[in-house]
Amino acid sequence: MLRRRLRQFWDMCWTNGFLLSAVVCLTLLYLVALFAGFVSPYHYDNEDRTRSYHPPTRIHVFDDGRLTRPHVREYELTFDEDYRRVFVPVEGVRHDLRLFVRGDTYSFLGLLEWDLHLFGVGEEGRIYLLGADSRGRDLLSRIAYGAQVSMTIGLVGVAIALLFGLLLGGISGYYGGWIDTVIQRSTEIIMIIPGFFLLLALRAAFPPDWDSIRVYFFIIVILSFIGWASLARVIRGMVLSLREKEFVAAARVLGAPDRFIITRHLIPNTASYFVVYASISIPGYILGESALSLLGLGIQDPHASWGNLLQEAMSITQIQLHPWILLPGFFIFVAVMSFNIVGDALRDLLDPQQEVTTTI
Amino acid sequence: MRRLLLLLAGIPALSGCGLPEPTGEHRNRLVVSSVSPPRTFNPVVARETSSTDITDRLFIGLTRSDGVTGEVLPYLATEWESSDGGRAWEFTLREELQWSDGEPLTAEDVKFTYDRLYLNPDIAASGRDILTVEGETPEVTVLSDTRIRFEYSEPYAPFPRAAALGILPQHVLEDRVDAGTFESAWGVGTDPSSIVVNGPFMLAEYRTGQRVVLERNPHYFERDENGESLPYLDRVQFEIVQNLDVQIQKFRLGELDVIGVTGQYFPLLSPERDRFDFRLERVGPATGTTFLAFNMNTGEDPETGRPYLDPVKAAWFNDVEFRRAASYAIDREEIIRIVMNGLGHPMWGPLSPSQGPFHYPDVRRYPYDPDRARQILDEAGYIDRSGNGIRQDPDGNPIRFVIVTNAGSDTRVRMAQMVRRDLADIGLDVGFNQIDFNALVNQLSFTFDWEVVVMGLTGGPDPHFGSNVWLSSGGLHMWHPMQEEPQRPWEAEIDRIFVEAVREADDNRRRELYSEWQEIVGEQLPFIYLPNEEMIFAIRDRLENVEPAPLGGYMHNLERIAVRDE
Repeated sequence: MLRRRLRQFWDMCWTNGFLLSAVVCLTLLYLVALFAGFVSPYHYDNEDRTRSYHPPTRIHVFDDGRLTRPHVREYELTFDEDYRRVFVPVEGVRHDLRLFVRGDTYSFLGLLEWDLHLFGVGEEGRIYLLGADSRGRDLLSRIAYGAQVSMTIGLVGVAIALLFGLLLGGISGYYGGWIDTVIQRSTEIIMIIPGFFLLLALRAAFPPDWDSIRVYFFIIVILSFIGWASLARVIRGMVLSLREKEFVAAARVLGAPDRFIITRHLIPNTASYFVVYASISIPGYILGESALSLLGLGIQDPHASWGNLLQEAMSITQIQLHPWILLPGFFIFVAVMSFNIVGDALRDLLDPQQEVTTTI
Repeated sequence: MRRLLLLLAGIPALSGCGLPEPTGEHRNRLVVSSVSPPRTFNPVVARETSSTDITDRLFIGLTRSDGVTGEVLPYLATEWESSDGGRAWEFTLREELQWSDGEPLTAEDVKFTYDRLYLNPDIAASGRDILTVEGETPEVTVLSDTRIRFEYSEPYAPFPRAAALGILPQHVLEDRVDAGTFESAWGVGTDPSSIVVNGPFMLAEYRTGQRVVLERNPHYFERDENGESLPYLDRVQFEIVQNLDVQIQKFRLGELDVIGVTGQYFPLLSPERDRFDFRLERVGPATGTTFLAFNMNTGEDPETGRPYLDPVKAAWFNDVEFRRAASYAIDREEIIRIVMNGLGHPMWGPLSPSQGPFHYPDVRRYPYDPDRARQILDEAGYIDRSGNGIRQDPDGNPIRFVIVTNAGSDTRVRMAQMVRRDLADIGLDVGFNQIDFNALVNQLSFTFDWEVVVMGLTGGPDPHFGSNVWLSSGGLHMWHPMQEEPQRPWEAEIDRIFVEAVREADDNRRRELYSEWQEIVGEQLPFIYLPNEEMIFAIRDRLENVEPAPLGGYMHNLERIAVRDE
């Protein structure tokens, strides 16, 4: 069954170009998140304040008209009479671009310390493929580290929401009666609260001395706390109709315990719904985290997430003077679009009649 | 393309004015912006600048503070003198002053305003603090129609500055005070014509959340050197534009005449000066201060008996060498270059150079020197014994704390982030967090459970009005507020200086006292001052007599600003 579905999905990818590119984008983004330390030339907090808002570095392959090894030039920051940042090239200084260079140490997959980077220009120069932020930190590196937060927050969040949604929705639908009433009324209470304000209110309750990782974890918990309610309601409805089906009745007559019926019959039959639900609600988590970080209440500097990187791009002036600081927004856009395309495709495949909506 | 944009943007601006105006009549109009809408037009209860910016044009006081020098100048009063060693102050009013409805303004109005409004315990008046000296308020006596006397039981040297509070009309407001509804009088829903004023302008219109329009008060007394009556402007229009970015765009489109900007925006506006006919005037460091403060509170919560702050951390923060090391570790030049785009000034003491004569330039400075910072920490026993890059105190506790600032203030947030990094570089484990402004104020004034904060305070020319911050009993004495007895010898010294200075009539002696205070602050570092932004004003060329200054902004001489005909 699963294999057949995967097969169908695979076939869809080859016939639908959008879907294929979405799958490729997501795969690349997750690879970047996984190998962030390796892909990025610098640590996320490696700053060089003398290169504040360094524009994206050009890679030169010609020197004096002759083809040479790829290299970058050295620039010096000055202010002109209008106090604009001007990067003046330093004559005769070039840094060769090399692959697999040693640089900042990072922890690889949380297991071992490593200092090998995919590319770099050595200690003397700096390379900013996507430009630098105000403190001269490499935007590419920060986006790569930011992907670790932004690309996982949806997965973990959906996992938690699924856990609650399936469990409470399943219990509610299967047992009915007063249990059903209690659970359904509490989901309604949660659904009444405007999501974003609940997020802000819960965020304000965090103690100020929490580190970023704990904040990150609890933001996920808050987001999924809002997210599970709508799922639980739909699951409950599905379970309610499923338990009246003949095959369930047959299992019950044969003396199968509740646990068996729930795990073997009911949950697999709701799978088509929650798989689609998961892929479509992930973008909500990504955007929720971005909004929170954009307001300065999510992941905190020096740690990076796409949302808090965008915080620097809140001002039209900054965008006008340093347009590259808007790039993290492009990554959010790509990730959200890709998840939506994949989610749509999954719905077409698994459950064409079902309408799936998300709450965040 | 740009011209097209200008045209498009011009259409709503025109149609926003309503009926077509007769040519020439309202051309003498100034359009400025305000970041948030006014909450009241009642100057006694107004607290936020969005309200006082407007009420200050409507209601004037016995004295005024010069917008450039900070000096106290005559306004409704022509002269004043003190007697009894500074305990009694007598003011002489101008002759034939009138309210905007034509009624005479006399010493009775002044007595009413002070006795029944500012000093009335039933009214939450924002001005009462500055009229109070050691818990005492003045007794006000009318001597004649134009003479009035204020009498304190203790000397109050800077009283003329406090006497700048706006005077209100007794004949209009007495009923409201008698009925106990004064606080809600003249709210934002009031009919503009019922607001009777004595300032150069009166309220013409308020469109909720959009704009406030003032028009000239024909009964205003002041005349210029040629005998022409002031103000020159017929109308002043405050457009409410919540975002500085949008203000800048509106200014570029010609919808605003003057705006105040910061260094970040300078590169955007500066190249356009000739094309859009405006000038940029840099007037020096802003008044007020931004600082890093360590919580030194050693008190306990009376309800739970638990200390407000972990005593281990309080011990580090109470160590002056620890604070000095932190100050040496902060790279102020880079903060100015990065956050303020090169347009800022390092600050070393509690008064900005723009704050007038009490600024003391020779306070101790802590130029960026991370090696010296490390050395100080080493000598004070904060050493990394475990080799993990984090220093520990002599008892072996790793030095770990979180810098907090309020979300939404971009400059402050970015400064705090850089300070965090600078302190991490000398071997401290420092986190950073932003929280909502109200939540932060709550921590600073009620729960006292913060560790390190980046905050700001506004400032006027006379240090006495900062007593609430500097007296150890003050509520804004952030590092250890509301102490019954000063816990640290230098706090006792500052308390003594502030009490002595308010009694001192001689200006030179007061300056000496306040210099001593600034020196102590520089030595002890209860606040580690961060740079101040350069104040910059963008001013349309056709305006005349705009003289922006850090203290008074660009509106301090609004009655003399004129629009040149083109």
